[in-house]
Amino acid sequence: MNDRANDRTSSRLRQRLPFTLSDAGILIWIAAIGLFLSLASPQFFAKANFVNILSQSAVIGILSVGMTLVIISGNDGIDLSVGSIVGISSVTMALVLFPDDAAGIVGAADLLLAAGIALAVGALCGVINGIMIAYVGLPPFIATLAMMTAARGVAAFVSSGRPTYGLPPAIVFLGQGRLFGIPFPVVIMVMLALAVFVVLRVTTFGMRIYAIGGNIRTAFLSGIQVKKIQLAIYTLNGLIAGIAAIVLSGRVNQAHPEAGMTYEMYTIGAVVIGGTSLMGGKGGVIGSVFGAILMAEVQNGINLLDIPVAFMRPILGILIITAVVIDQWQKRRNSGD
Amino acid sequence: MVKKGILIVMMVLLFCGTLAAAAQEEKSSDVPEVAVVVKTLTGDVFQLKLAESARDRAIELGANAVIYQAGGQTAVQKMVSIIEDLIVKQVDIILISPLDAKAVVPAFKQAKEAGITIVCMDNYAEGDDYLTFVSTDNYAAAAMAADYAKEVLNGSGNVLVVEGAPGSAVGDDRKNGFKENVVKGSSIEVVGSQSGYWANDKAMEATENMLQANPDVDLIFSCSDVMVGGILEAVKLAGRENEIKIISFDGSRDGVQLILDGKIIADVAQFPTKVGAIAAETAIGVWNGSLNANDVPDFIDAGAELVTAENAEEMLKVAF
Amino acid sequence: MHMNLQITAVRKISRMLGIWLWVIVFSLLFSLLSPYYLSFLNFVNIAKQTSIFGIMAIGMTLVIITGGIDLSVGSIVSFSSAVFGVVWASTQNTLLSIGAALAVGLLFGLLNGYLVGYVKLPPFIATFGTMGICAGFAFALTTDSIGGFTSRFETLGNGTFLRLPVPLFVLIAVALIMHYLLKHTVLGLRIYAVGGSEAAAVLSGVNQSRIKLLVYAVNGLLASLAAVIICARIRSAYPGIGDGFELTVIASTVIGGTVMSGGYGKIAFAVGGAFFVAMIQNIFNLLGIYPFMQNIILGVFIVAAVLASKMQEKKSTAAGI
Repeated sequence: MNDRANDRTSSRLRQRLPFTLSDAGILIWIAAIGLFLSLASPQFFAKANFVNILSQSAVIGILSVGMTLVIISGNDGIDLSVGSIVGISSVTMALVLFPDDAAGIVGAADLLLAAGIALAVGALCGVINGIMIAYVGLPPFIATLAMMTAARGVAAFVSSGRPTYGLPPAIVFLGQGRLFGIPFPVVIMVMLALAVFVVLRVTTFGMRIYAIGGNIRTAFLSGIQVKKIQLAIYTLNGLIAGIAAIVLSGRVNQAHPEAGMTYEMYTIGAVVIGGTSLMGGKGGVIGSVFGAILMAEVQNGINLLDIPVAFMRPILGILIITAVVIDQWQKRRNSGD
Repeated sequence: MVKKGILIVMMVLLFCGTLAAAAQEEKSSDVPEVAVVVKTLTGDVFQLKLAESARDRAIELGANAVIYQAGGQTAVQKMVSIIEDLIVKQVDIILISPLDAKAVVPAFKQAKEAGITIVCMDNYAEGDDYLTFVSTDNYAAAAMAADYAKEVLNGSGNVLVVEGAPGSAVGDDRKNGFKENVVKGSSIEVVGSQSGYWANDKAMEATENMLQANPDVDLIFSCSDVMVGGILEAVKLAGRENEIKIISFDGSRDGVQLILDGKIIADVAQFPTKVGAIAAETAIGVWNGSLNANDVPDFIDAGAELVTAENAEEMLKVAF
Repeated sequence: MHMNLQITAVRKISRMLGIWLWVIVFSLLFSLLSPYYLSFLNFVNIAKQTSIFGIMAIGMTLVIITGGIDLSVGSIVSFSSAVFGVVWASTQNTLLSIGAALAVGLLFGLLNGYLVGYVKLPPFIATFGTMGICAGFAFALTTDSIGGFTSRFETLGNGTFLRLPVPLFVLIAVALIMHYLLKHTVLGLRIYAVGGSEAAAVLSGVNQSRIKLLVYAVNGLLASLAAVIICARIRSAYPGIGDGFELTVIASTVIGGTVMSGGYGKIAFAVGGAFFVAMIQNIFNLLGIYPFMQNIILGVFIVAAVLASKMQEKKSTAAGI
């Protein structure tokens, strides 16, 4: 009984702080690995390299913002389809930009239309996910697995399997441009994360997401329209995957039917490393973004140190397990267990 | 209950109707049934063109031809299942780009026992259960790129290599063909070599990180055009476009266009449409008896050509 | 009254057959679509392809019944294959290689079980971690495929006994053992209890941690058994062979009616789920459906199949059972 009361006060306290304890924990991780890499590789500690890491983390970081919402809402909430949504949004955008398969000059109106349609396609996939999960009652894992398969098929179909190289400068700017020296994808990631952070902490919508994740039955009994909120969450996640698609396409200056392949796994990894619990009801977007940065840092270190690429996934796997174990250990200690 | 039953029956029928409508061909008995099996058709224009040209040439020669894909660079198990299903379907000819040289061998053996003629395209397989292997000689073609690199660098400098996916025989041939020949008789040094996984974004990250590790780089060799876009973006973002020359491999339309745009200096062109067409012609020739199987060599080189600014204009017309 | 009785009977049969009902219905329809579908040779084919995913789906069913999930099985297949190949290459000893491959599965299964049961990590995280570890280690061990296995070993994957494929007998043996374990032993009851209501299981004195350890270990072991069969089937060891298998296996299991939140699942239906997935792929190939369409149809099909098995279950609960 006492434990539970303690837990409640501490989580209330945490909700007031802009950063949770896990966020601080992951910053320490980032710093520790950074320190190690600085000692191990002379190229690591440089402004240009930090910019590298940040821009490499941006796409996964953006995706992890949406995924955090899904996972916080609990009840086995997960979205395996984000990688495929990135692919389908990317090629639909290219199709709108270059309907006749030849890259050329594109007007501003077409550009807005194309970007809008990329977002709409992402959101539409999200709506379908949401309906299957909230209204049809499929497990999220299965519903989004089906979407992952089908969306990849549609992406191949729409593009006839061909990537489109050479996108309009405006889109390339979204992926490569800089604002006061900061890569634009990073700007988008940070703005998006802050916006969702505010939504989660201040609005009733945000509180309801936590409530559903905490205990869906209680949430339902207290009058929350659970299904509508779930639909909204998956839709939002699809929309955010659409944003990630535009940024990724701009960054590599290409719309590719296989864009975003396996990104769902890295995204879920970032969210979990960032301290969001898969059980739902707990966590936040700031941690997830740090999680994405941490993964990019490790990848960067592996490349700089010339470690065989095969070790990337094991290192990531060990990192994820260790991060969660330490997180649990901290929580247990905090609650005086 | 009854309503639900009707609904289910309708869904089932709709599904089967879709399947029947989506089926690619009608069967007739006196022309050869050709199955074209490739790794993937998405995002890999080489495999796409290879598959399409093999299918189209087979149809021109009067055969029925259908394309199958394993659906991924590691989908070995799926490819084996496809071959097994094709044996049941009693096809006459399989034109295939194997995902792995060893893994398809037992399936090939079963297919041969069932009287199916197999031709390998682009990737070879072990054993002798297939008729012939049609491909670019990747090692020799990459050596052409190495020779050109020595010429433009005047025999000295630092180069980076962006490799294909780990374990890919084609990727290894290109990597080795370039690396081993570029250092031969020159003072060129390969200062970095990492996998770009045949993917743009992965190639971009690998290049960014290799550039970070090596302040002095003169030339980058990309093992495929599918990665050169990412490499270019990485070089551009590092602000080193003027000091670093790039040579790529494949000779795709995008790659040759990059030469014309002055973004890369050369591209080793291979000819997937030739590979596909030769494979179809050879297999159908043996099937209808106009070719003697014993006269077909074990390896047919479809040729490769170095594309530079001099011949890019005309190569663009034939590029895939 | 008479009508009601009939409906109850239909429901009963539908519930008894589970996914196999749909296997039969679609088999009949497919035989109209392709003359090759309903042949002995094709049955052998589908059975061969089912065996591998069926064995893995059985293990996954145990895990999901306890309310867990195992994302690492595909990577365990890859790593076990790689170990099999490397051990073979250095010893030329088939039995030793099989032993080493199975040991890998058992070891990582135990690791999963320990992390889930004792360290209390969420199953998704623990197995997500080991998935990365195994996938990477497989390629670290060998980037190339390793071949040269004996033709006697190949029988395990491609041989036939009584005209039926050998792997099918392995599948049947595993299914029978696991069915007996689940339905006729105290341990089986406890496995269901852990997933049905963990709190109740604790109260009734079931050692949850130990049962989870066991279930994940068995799952890992079965994954490596599947790996050995694949090695025999392709007569080589390929370090990326299991890529993405976990998704097919989980889909098969859930199509077979196993409930993802735990507490319910049947071995025979899990095998049926694997058969169903294999026969869909098979008809795609027999009809020569254009590859891009396959993905779209398959996605729709996963949803439809899970819905169908959900509906069958609902009917039975509505019938007051």
